[in-house]
Amino acid sequence: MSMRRLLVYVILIAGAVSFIYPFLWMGSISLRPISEFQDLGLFSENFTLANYQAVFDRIPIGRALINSCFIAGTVTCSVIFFSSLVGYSLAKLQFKGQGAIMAIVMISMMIPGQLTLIPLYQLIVYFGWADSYLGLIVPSLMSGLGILIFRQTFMTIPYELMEAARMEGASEFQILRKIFWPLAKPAIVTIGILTFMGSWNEVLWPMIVVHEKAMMTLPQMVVLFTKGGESGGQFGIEMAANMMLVLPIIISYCFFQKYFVEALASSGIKG
Amino acid sequence: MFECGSLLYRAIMRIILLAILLLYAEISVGAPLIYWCATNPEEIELAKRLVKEWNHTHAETPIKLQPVPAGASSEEVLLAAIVAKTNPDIYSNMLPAMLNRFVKADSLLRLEGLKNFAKETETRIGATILKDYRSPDGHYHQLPWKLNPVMLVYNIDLFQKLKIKPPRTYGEFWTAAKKLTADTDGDGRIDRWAMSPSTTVLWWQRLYDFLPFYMAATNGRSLLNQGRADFNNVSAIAVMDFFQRGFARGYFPKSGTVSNLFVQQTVGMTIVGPWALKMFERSMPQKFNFKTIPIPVPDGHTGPAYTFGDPKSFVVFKNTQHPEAAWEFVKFMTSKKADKLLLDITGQIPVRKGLITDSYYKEVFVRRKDLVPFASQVPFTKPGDNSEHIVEILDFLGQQYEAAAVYGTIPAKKAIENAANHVEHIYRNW
Amino acid sequence: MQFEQSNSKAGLVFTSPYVIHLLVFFLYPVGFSLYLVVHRWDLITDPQYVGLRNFKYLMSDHLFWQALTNTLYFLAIHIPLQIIIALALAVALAKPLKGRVFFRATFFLPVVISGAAVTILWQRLYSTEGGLINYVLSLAGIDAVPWLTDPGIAMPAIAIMATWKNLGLYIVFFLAGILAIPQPVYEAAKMEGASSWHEFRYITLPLLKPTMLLVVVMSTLGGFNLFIEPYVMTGGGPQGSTMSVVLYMYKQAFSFQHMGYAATLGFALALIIMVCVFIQKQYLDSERYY
Repeated sequence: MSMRRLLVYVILIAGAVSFIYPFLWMGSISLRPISEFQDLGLFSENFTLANYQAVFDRIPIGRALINSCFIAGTVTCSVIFFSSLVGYSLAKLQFKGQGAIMAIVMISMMIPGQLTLIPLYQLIVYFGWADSYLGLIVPSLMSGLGILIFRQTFMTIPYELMEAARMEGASEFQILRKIFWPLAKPAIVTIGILTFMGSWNEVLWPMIVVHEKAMMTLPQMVVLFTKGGESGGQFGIEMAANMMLVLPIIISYCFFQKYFVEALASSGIKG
Repeated sequence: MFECGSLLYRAIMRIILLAILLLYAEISVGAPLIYWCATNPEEIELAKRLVKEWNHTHAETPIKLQPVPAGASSEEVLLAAIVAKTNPDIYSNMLPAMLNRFVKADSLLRLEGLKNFAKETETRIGATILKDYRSPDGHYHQLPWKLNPVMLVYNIDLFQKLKIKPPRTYGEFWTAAKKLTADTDGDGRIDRWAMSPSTTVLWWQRLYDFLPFYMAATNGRSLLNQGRADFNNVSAIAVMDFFQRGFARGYFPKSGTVSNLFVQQTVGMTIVGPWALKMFERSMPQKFNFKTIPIPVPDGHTGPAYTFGDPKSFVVFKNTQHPEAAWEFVKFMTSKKADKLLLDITGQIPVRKGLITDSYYKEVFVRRKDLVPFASQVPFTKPGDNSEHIVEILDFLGQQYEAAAVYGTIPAKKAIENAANHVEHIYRNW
Repeated sequence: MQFEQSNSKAGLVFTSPYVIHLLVFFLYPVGFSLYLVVHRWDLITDPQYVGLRNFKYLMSDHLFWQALTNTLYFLAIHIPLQIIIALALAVALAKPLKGRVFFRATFFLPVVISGAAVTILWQRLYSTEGGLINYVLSLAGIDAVPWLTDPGIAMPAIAIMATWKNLGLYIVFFLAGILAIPQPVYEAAKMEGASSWHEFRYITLPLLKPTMLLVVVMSTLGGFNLFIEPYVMTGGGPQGSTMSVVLYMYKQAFSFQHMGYAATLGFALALIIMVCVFIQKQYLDSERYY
């Protein structure tokens, strides 16, 4: 019994180390001078912020951080707002074309994004939205997954609550806002986290749409910085840039770990 | 319960409102002239200095500087930007080999109609060289700015220690390679090599290995001739075979590495342009001396060793709102004084006639003797092919190079044949 | 009825922004992509009708077939590896242990990190100079492995990284699946003297089939979307061994400006993904574990 228990712990601890150590090592490398880049321990007497200084000197990473926050924030709010509208309509209302909309939500989720990538780029160019927030934000204002999650959540809410409000003369929008939203907080958090993370981590689309430095998102800028010539191939500087990409998410993950896990786990219903 | 709902609602609505406001604000902002330069630190430094000076004296037409936002290839980014109409006004890193694409897209400004074009180019470049840079349609869309003749740099200290002669031919190269390649710390593993040519297939890498060697072996022949492959010949096979041998015999390391092996004295030779010299000095862990010589040629070769000149030009885009100001800026960037700064800061060679004999630049060459071989190589350089398919052709050549040279899975002859056939295939299909 | 009327009006109003967005940013692109499939277009000049030439080119384009094979190779390593490790760790975590939440949170960490950041980090971990992984191997007396520069190893290396990144998510899926199995089932088995292995093989595994399907489908979708990993780490090399279909499509579109051909690639990929997911669903639905 205790032998087996010990074994389980050894496996779990080995797993935990292999998941955490690389991040710690990255943090440590980013704080050390170039001469120590082959060092594999975590600590050094020569910790310095020089690498971070170099990143700030060479690229407008602060601006990229603001861009990413703004883009992901706007997309998240929009997805929550519009998905709840559609989810509510599909779950609780009857109207013409309801079945068609449900079907199209499912289809839009089944078609892989690669198919629409190039036409979408052409469309953005046609609208003159390249190198702008519009080009980055507008295509992802809606989400089929968000609609499905809201629909499922709203279906569990009893009609009686609605009827009572309707008797009092509340409009459908007021019902959604005052009754359904507060009851669907877990769904809102889930969709919020999923959408925010998805938008925050996206690289392919910004790389296609944005070439102006001031408009770049954080992951895009970090990828171009490490892959293009500007980091000068210097290990510590690259890791410092990467740390700035990772830290905001790690910090929020530390605080809201439970919600992150729940949100991502519920993305599985997509399958 | 109701409270909470409307709080959330208000917050979300406010953010959406703010977003809409910001989006509108963004559209209405006017911009100064935008200038894209290359991404290496020296060139950014040069551009920063000159742009600052320009903005000081030209407050009405300020320039906004940005290094090309490129991950893999600046040409790719530039094309995408042109399509999206987000291109800069001025660009200084134009590869003449790529120019035709942009001319076909009708995106470049004709320069000959601008103020003092003839006079300016005559004093700086001279009519004969300028002709090489004329577009197929007979117009001038670029102002040749600088050259980076690709040459062989070797570690003198190491060569003297090992009593090696600097190689001029393949035969001498192999003699040197044999002596250089060794296990220096006695742990049974090779830890010093002759040279480390690139092992990646990125299309532009072939401009710095295969192409210069091919030009050296053929007195400056190019890869294409009127839409057909012009490299299915003995010289090209000899060049491919040269790289194959180097990798097969272990003179060239196969694993791509993070750091520059030459500055760590882990390889004795490297193929570079003058832009790299400053980078060497900057990142050398231990000081050593190095020297530049022409690219080696096949045994029995006669005549000078040509090489790829790696030229870069200034272009002005047609959709600029300030063509005259942009042209003034280009002239400013290629003035006598700016050329001196270019030479001094970046080590790259301005396209300027009589550069090496001009007393104005003498001081730089006295201070930086390492640039003299590059400047002297300039008459024996070629600009490379100007084809709209050059990226795809070099990309495929790169795959063949990788297969034949790096991994040795196909013979050199077969690699050259494949690449030549693919050129036909590309011209036929696209 | 009054309700029904306002009901139906509200429904239309609430869904119209979505429908408009869908028409512009989904249906139009899908339609345009079908249009591009039979055209040649370099983004700059006008599209030119070429009939089925893009499809013919696709059939004989060995680089596309190589990219597809690479992706299947990736999945062949990634999916089993993922399932085995995630299942093992989930089974371990299902036991009443101290620090369960901590372990789960740790395993989940890479899931929330952006793929780009993970890739940049792992490129350094895999490095042959000063790379952490080769250092650990050297402690065990193993020679440095050229992870990203050997054509035989590069794709497995990327698959290992992808597994590391996604493992936490699948652990959570499996864990939820295991915890949902009612205890009496296990107790009954114990009464009949079943060993833990038998318990796992004949109770846990069959009951996890829906979770298994989910994991397989999600990994497959992820695998076909492989882009940023090879883009950053290898550029598709060495010898094209890590060229993924999406990366190849990106290259055709934005390096060579063959938009029509790239759209054809996207179309083919979408078709392949749908067929794959369909087959997996059929297969896993009908297969019997017991």
